[in-house]
Amino acid sequence: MFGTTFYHGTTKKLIVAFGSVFNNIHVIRSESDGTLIKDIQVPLAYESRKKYLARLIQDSKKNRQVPRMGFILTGLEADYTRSVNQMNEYTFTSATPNKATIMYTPIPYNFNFTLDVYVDYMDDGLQIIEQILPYFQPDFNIVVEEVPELEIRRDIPIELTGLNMVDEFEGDFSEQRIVNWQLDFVIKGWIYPPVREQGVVATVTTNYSTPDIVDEAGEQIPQPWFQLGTGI
Amino acid sequence: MFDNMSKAPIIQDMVEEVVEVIGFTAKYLPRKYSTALDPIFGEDPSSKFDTVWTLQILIDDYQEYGDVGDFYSKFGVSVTDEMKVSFTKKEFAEQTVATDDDTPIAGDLLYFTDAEALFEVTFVGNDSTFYPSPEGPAHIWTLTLKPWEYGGEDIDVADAEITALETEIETAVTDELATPDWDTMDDDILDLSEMNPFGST
Repeated sequence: MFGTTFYHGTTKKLIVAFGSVFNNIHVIRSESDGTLIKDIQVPLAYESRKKYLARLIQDSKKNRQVPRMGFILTGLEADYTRSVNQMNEYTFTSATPNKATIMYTPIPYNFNFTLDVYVDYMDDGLQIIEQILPYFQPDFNIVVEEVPELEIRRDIPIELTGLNMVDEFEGDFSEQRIVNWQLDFVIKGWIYPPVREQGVVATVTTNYSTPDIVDEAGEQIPQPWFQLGTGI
Repeated sequence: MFDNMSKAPIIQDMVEEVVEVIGFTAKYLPRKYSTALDPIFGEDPSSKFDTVWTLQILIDDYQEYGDVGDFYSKFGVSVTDEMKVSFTKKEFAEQTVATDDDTPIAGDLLYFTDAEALFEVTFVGNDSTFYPSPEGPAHIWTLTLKPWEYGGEDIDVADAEITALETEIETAVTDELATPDWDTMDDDILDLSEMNPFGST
């Protein structure tokens, strides 16, 4: 846009960060006396993908495995309550001699995510949900390296905004019972403008003079200008 | 001829012969429930399969079975095809004589060798109209099946094919866990140097 191509991939990084938060959830299966039968790590996948790739990944002869979780970015909106002066600039050192890297302040955006939990057993779902909820009161902070080349890392809050459960157990006996949990989150992130290079100030010229000096006759006595130069 | 009850044994023989001639071999895995049956939710996540019986199966209805029932959901490809199969009560009783499992129950599994796939029983009916006889339903079990969604249940049977399939499914899950599809970026997205909220692992 405007002749500048840039892409920081911050949205994609937030997607990865979001997935990382929920990537290591386990479900325990045990006997009534507490004897451990199985420890199942719950797979997590981004929900949307090309359908032909989905077919390649999953063997058509086999059905999917449960429990499993999926998440997806559902939208984003600007949050100007967090915005700062748009004309502020971040300045960074540049690898190019006598150049500086500058960037205007990022724009605050709220990224809406949905985490879906699909289980065959109600107890599995409760185990997963009860492992997630205590971390969100209502938000959970993660440190995200948003623009690594500029070493920009921020505390990004993930806020839990909604929770919904669907237990479809009514109907024909041949129909499958479906237990779904849906958790809605908002990540308070930022969209970064393009990075520009700008020459550094190598010399500052400051001219100043003393106040006018006059002689007894009131004539102005010429004064030389003083010039200072400072290299940066 | 069917209103003559004296013909019942003949009809039973005919039914069994039909299943024997045009049916094919399938393996039946009854679901075993453990001591952890949840009385509140009415479920047993620790149920398992440790027995396998071999039966002659007749496919009653496969018209809805195929690629039509496959759809892509938020949790991946879901196969929702249904299939109806029948087998004789006599053969089932012969296989299960040593156990109390004299009735197929929803939740049990069937393994089809040709398809190399496991199917879950979703409904058991014995009022099939497949055979035009009042005695017909008395001789067969009619089951509605759908492709099984592996839910972490243990399959511990002495059958190489089924064990290989279970291993294949578990390997697919392990591979999925090892390389999540969303975690393909080289950058270290999360900076956990100051604090790791997920623990040391």
